[in-house]
Amino acid sequence: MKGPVLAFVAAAGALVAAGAAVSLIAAQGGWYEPLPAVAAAGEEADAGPLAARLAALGPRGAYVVADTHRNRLRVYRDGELLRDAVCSTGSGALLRDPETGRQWIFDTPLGEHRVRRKARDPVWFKPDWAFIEEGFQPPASFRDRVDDVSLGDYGLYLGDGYIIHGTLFQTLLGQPITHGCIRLGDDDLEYVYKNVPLGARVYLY
Amino acid sequence: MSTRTCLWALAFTFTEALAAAQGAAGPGPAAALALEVELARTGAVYLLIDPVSDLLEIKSRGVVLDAVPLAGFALLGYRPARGAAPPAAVELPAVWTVTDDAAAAYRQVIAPGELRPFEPEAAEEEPPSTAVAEALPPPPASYRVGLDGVWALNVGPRLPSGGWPSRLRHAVGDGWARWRGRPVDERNLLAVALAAEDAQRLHHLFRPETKVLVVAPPPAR
Repeated sequence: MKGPVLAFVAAAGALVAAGAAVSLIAAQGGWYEPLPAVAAAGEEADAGPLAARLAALGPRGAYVVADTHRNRLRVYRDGELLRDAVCSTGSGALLRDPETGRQWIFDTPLGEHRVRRKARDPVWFKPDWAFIEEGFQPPASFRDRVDDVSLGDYGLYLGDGYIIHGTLFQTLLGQPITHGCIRLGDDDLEYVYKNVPLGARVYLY
Repeated sequence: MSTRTCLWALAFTFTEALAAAQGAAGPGPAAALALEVELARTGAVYLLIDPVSDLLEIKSRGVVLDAVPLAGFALLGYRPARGAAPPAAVELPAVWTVTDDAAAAYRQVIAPGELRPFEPEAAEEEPPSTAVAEALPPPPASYRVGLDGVWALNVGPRLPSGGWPSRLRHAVGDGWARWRGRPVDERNLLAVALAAEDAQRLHHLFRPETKVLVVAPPPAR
């Protein structure tokens, strides 16, 4: 009879000890619990004028929206979808110059931009990173930086070096492989060039 | 039952009762619109979490650029067993600011070992490295993003459970981490439940200074 009793006492003791240990540990921790939401203080304003002000901030006429995750570029006019194209956007990679420590992040810049300039047969003046990425020191000669092939037939300049342009690598469209620019296929680029005017807004997300 | 345990139980009961009762008194849309007008002036991309329409919208200048369905939304306060309690309630609508660069941990780093003098002929022979699509790991479908204040946005396929077993598990997990000298995340949570593909799509939008506007949730269902 003693055996089972002892075993029971030992098991109970072990359980109590384990419970105490868990309680001690849990007492050092914490947990999540629902928080109630309450109305922000202040008088309730008329929603009508605010909605009108918000609508007035939006674009008029043609504008561009690009999804940098799915690599899609859409052209709208007054909210109506006109074109939905495959594009390529920034790779998000970080390039480090082994000699100077300079860094570049190849993100497509999010937010609102405008078409500041449009060009046929755009010429690319290759910046330092274009050489460093290939393992070359940036050349001293300006002529070595001129590239009149890579950008395709048209360019729509968004500022800070970001351009909507064409590509030699059409089979890679749909993948995030650029240095931040937006690449389009030939037909889509021509459509965008002809239908999106100077000053049009471009939303990148 | 110890006094401490009784107090914990009372605190849970009170908070959950308050959470259920408050739903009846949500603010009108004007307060949220007033906040959004301020956000829309900047031209930056911002996120609007709308538990009323069960949508998370990606917006700029008031234009809905994209939207993903919300499978769930909750405000969760971190309650340490010892220490300051979370806020009693959260005023909504409200705007939070992202403080993390969520994409930073997922960047591919290109770092040539050394640079050689530029030779036009050699450059023409080698295809540009950007022509080669690197297979990057997809962004995560479940993650936490730092917000200003003592807050974080928790994105995942489901909301963190608030039940007793989950709380105990969490308390033991945190206590164990603290016991071993590891950091414990004590931030309050804006928790959103999203489909995995949607959570991955949003991941790159969480950059420092991105604003997140949360409108009031609907009355309790």
